Amino acid sequence: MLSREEWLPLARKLDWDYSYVREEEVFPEVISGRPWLPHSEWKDWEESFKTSYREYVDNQYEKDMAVRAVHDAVGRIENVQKLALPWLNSLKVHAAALPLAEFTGVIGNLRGARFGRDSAWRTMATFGALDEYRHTQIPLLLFHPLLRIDSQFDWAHKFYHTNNWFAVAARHFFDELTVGQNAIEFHIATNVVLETGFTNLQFVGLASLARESSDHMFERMVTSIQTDEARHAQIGHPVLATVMKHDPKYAQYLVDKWFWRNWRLFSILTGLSIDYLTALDQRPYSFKEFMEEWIIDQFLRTLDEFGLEKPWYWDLLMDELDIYHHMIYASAYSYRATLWFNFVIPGPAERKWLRQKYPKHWDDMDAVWEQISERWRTVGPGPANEFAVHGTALPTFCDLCQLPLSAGTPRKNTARVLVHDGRKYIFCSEPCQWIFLHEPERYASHTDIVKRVLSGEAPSQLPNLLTNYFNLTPDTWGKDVHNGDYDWLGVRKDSAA
Amino acid sequence: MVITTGSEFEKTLPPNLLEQRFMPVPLYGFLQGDTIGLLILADDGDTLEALAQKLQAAASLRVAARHLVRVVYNNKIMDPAMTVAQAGFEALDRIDVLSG
Repeated sequence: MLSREEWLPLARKLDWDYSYVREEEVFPEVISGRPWLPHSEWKDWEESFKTSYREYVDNQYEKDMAVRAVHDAVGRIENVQKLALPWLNSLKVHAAALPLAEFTGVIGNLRGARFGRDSAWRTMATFGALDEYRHTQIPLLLFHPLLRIDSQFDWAHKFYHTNNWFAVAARHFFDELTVGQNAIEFHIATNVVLETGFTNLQFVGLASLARESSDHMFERMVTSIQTDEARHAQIGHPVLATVMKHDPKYAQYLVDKWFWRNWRLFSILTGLSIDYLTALDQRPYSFKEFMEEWIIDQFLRTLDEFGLEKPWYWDLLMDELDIYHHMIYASAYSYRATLWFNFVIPGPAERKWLRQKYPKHWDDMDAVWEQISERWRTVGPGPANEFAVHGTALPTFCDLCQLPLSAGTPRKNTARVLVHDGRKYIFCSEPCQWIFLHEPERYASHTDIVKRVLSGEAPSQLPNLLTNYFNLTPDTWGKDVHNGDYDWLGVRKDSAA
Repeated sequence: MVITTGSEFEKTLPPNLLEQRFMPVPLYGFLQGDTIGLLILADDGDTLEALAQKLQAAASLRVAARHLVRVVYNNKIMDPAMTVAQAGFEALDRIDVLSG
């Protein structure tokens, strides 16, 4: 019998020369990706972490048992009920955004498992698909039962099946990244940019935040998922190296495009969690500090490793670290009923901390929070006044990322209008417009929420939009965590009556 | 989300008043100091001063009202007495309302 070291190299490399069909027919460029190269250019594809199916199953079993043990010990409903309210709402964000996004990763990996250009690549993508199944099932298993205590956790299953504006944005992103993608772009965009660049490190950061917030269940979950990510993220590196060798301009384009697209979603999910939905005394760092220490440095090393340049929008990205997620949070707070989780106003202590961490633009943001606070002071706290402290004009969205037109600063919003083929589009930023113009055929026919309202596809009245189109209910739509009842506002509910 | 008026507190307008309205022009409105762009339905006959007030009202939850504002369109400061029709605003154009 062969030893593991003897048979694994044989089992990894199972390609053969086709005699009945052409190679281009087995691996069409439209679904395998470009540049289309003969297998001779891919035959040295090698993953840095090698595993067999048996080893994979054994490892995953151990990890699943560890998650189960922690769930049984500290993941009960009474443990969750002890968590701080803002953090609980950060969990709702991730409970909705994570599971079915991971499921789209199954589809993307299965495309690599069939249309990847080397057998070792295809084998690793098969493991990657199994990983992503696991990453779908674990958060569903842990989060969805929490709807017994809070109906907003129903969105763990529901989110991607709605036309909620954030679900539209997330679907627009994941449909392109994973579901409708060819194997080469999928593995570069997902493994190299999303996973190596963002989520692998994001999960380390989230685990740290969860630990500080005494949420040991979430800490264990993301740590367990991160160990899978660290392995299957390696698939993309030899793919990128080969594309870089044959078409470096295209490789640079893919990295530039996907780093921006990832940044947009990531800054919202993680930026809001770190800087607003984690209690002040439990924040180990600001989102900007996290980005600089964990994401930016690592990404620059990856670029260097492959001989790639910084994306052309690098200076703009650095500016956005100071402001973008703050613009989004304040906007989302004032339209919180359009989302499925609750928000908290940063009080004086939080705003002092935010000013220290983000001195460049905080004066402008502080004025916004002061105005919102003043509205609560005027109308008084309480659930009945939620909509008196809520926006009523229709917010607007980018035709590329589908996120609110909240880029730039309060002094100068960077939205830009473009007429393309006789139709008018608006983009939140120059990079979003740049991505659109590179592949307009991919994006041009998608309609954002504003155009759906104007065409009559979506209702224009807020109650109908919330219930009929965003699939929210009075129980599930977002509110202020305290219904405006904050000590520091000076109008507590008891005295307001 | 009462997109007919952009007013923060305004209820849906009665049908007879709605029928009297001019052709609405949906515009992307950006008020200086705000964190998000808003959709504003302008009427052809609205003056730009009224349009600026409409945007200020729509954003009043986040931005305190200012008396002195300017409407900027295609990088040009517009005459506040001009109407939307005279200004040549077209559907889904961007307008900015700046302080001072």
